[in-house]
Amino acid sequence: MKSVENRDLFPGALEMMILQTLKRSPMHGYALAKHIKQSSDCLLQIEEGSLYPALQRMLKEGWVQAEWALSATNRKIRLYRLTKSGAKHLQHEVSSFERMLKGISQVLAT
Amino acid sequence: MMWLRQIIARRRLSTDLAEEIQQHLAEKVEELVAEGMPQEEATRYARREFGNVVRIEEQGREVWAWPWIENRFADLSFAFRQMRREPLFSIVSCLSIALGIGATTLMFSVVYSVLIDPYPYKNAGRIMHVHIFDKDAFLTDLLLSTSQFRRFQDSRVLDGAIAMDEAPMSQTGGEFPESVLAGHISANAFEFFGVPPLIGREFTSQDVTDSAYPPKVAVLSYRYWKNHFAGQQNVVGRTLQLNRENYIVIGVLPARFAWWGCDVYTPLAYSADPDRTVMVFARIKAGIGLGVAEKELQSWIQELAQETPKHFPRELKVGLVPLNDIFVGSFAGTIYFLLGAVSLLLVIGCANLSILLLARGRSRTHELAIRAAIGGTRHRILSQLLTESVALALTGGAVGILLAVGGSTLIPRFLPEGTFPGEAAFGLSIAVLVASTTLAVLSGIVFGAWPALRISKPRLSELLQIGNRTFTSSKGAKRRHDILVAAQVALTLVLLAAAGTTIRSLDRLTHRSLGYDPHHLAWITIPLRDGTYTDWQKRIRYYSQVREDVARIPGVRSAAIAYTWLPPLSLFRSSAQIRGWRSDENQTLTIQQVSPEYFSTLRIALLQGRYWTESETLRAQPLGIINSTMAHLYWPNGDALGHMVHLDELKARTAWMLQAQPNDGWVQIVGVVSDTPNDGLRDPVLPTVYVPYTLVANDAFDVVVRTQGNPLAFVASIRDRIHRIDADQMTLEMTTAEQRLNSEGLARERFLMIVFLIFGFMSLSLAAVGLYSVASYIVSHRTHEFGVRIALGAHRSDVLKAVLKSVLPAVLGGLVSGMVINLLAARLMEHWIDGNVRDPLMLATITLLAIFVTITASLRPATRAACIEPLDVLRAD
Repeated sequence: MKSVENRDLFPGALEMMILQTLKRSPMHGYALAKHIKQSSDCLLQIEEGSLYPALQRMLKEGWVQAEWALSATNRKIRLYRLTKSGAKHLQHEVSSFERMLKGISQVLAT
Repeated sequence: MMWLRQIIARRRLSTDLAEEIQQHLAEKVEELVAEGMPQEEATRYARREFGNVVRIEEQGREVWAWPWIENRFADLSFAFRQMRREPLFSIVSCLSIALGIGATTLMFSVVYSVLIDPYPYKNAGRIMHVHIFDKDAFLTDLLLSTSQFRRFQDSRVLDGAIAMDEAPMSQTGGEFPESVLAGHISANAFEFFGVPPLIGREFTSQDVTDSAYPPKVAVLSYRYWKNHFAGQQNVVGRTLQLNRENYIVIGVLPARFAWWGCDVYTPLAYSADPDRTVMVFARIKAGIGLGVAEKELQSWIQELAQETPKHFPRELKVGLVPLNDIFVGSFAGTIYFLLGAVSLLLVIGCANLSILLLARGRSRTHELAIRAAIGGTRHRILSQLLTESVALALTGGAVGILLAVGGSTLIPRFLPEGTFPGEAAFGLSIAVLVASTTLAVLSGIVFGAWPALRISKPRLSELLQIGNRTFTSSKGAKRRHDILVAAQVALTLVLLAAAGTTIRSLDRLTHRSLGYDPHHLAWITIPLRDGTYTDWQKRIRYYSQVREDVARIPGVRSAAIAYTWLPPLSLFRSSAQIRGWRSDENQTLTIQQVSPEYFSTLRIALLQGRYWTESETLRAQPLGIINSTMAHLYWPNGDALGHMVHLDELKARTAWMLQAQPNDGWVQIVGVVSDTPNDGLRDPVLPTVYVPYTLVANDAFDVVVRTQGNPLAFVASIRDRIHRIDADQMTLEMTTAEQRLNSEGLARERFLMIVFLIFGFMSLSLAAVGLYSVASYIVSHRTHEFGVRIALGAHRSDVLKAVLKSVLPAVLGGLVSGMVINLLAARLMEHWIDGNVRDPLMLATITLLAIFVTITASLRPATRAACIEPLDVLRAD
């Protein structure tokens, strides 16, 4: 399936960041977008909307679950929660990402 | 069940997503407003940050859908809408494809039903004719006595064998005896074939307790049941009188069971007489190669040959020939050649699709540019364009398949006789349908790809060019059109060359000098019933009485007796020795057994010597008359008369033949006659010896008659004479010499000629349509230019010339390359169609024809261009 990711990100990066964020606490889409933007110190230019196809993919894979809820500000939100298989997938992705990063850094360091 | 839940949940998922996105935007706006941004600006900012909502929603939905399939369906429904919007374009392109696919489907179904799956029998591919070749590679079917057959069956390379003796029987009990072709088959035959009966049952080995006197039961062929029992269901248990004996009908076979073309099948009686031989057919075991099986059977049969040496040639070689090779033989090549020809037709039709799509593509650049601008990716646009061409091809394909369904019912009438087995079921099979549909889709993709790749490139400049008008048509598009038109013209020229060659070849065959006069000439075969006229003297007397009585019928000019196949064939060949010939080696000659009136009846000219007389015939004098080919071959000095020839096969080989005493195989040459074709119309005449039919009296003979007027008008009176001599005597259908000429060569040639004429005409029309489209396209894109030119004083004929000139390179290129292909492929084509593909007169004719048609096709758009009113053009601005 074709995925229209942001040009700056490698495939799967967005998913990884979403999963990592959800690992700490369930969140709805807008909060997720804000969180990723803020915690990357706005280094990553992510089109906010691109979050949603990614979330749909992860729902389909069963890595996250979604339910309608009311936010603290009494707004109807759709809350995403990490599932067990999502956590497992995250772990796997992170470790392989770290390996890759390490490899790239080593090459760049020489 | 995951997918099922997904389908049900999809609508909800989709609304969830839409609502979620709206909430997202609302929250963002709220926050921005809270930070002090004006509402309007906040909304705009939030949207920009978010990205294209519609696209994101679509992407979100695609996760759950089968987007590929759904997109195709959307594209397909769009494509069909598009087709309705431009009916002329759609009809022309669909018809172009329909002709190609229709012809290809028809050819596929011929290939399938004649070459791939002609027989309903179990493991038919391994059922073999067992042929015995002599040292000259002249073949006969394996003939064994029934006791030999019993042993033969057990060979370890065989997966069963059957014996059969096929003979016409006389259906008695009616007003006239009718000839019924009966297949006496060994009791295991139906199990061997493995085809269940339509009605009733078949006989099996269990039914036959005494093989010398098997039960008198009959299984009817479908055709015989339809014709003689009117297809009645209650036929089982009825009696059928054959040769004055009652047979009980026990079953009816399905239509496709047409083994040996028999009318009825009865159990074979095994005989102790070694001369009562039977034909043998075998199925080789799976996994055993032909060569291995032949080797194994060779030693077996050699052993059997030692028991009954007169049934076998001296130096025998066993050859296994698969069932279908007999029927199809050289025609298989022709069928594949025709398949190649129809694929050319398909390519020409598909080229039209490309041309039309390219031409239409230009008028759609605007639409496509907008699509690209609002977010259609190239991939998406490409797939939409391809879907459109596939939709066109599929519609055309469907029409083509319908045409083919109609055509397939005509095939059996259209195909020359003897080129396909009676078992073949013509019609559309699933396999053919699948192949054709696949082909239609593929042609849509392949021939749509080029235009699609060309016009799917989004170009902003073209979007801005709202008027969609250019002053000159783009060079690239022109070149593409040129290539397609040239290819069409070239391929058309190839098909026309094939058509031209077959016309010339048929013409040559019909005007070949035959050496006899085929007009008002016919023969009727008279088979004896088994066990009648078993005395040589009586048989000869019977035959000559029949001849005399038939000759006396008013309107019959002369009658003769023959035991041979009439021209252009001959029945059998024999190895021979010629006394005094420079080499002792055996020669191969054809033998024709005839009465002396044969020559005058056929009007074969006597060149030298004399005919034998009637009294010499009745005394079975060993005399021979040779044809001029033989005379020239062996006695170039013209001194053939008086020489002695020994014909090895001039002897009674089976119980049904009666040999004259003292016939020792030697005959003396007393005359030389002119040649008549005896090995088909195409092949050279073989050396032949005519001998008196009385030397070996067979159990069947032909009465050859020359009549005043149509010989078929004499059938009833001839039959009447014969029944007056012997009331139970049956006769076969009358064949006229012209029918025989037809079936033995002319029919095949005529068939090819008609097929290629149709192909040539179709390809010519398709190429004309292609050229017409291209010319119209050029005119429509240069309307403005032409208008301006005329306004500036150009003569209208200059405009006409300009249009013609712009299609000229393509046509010339096509003609030249078509000619080159013809010359290069001539050898290949001549392998399947007789005649000279490089015949200059023929090539010149077809080239002129092609030029004429192409000019005519481009003339109408050209005159339209010449009639452009400059004012209209300028006002359009």
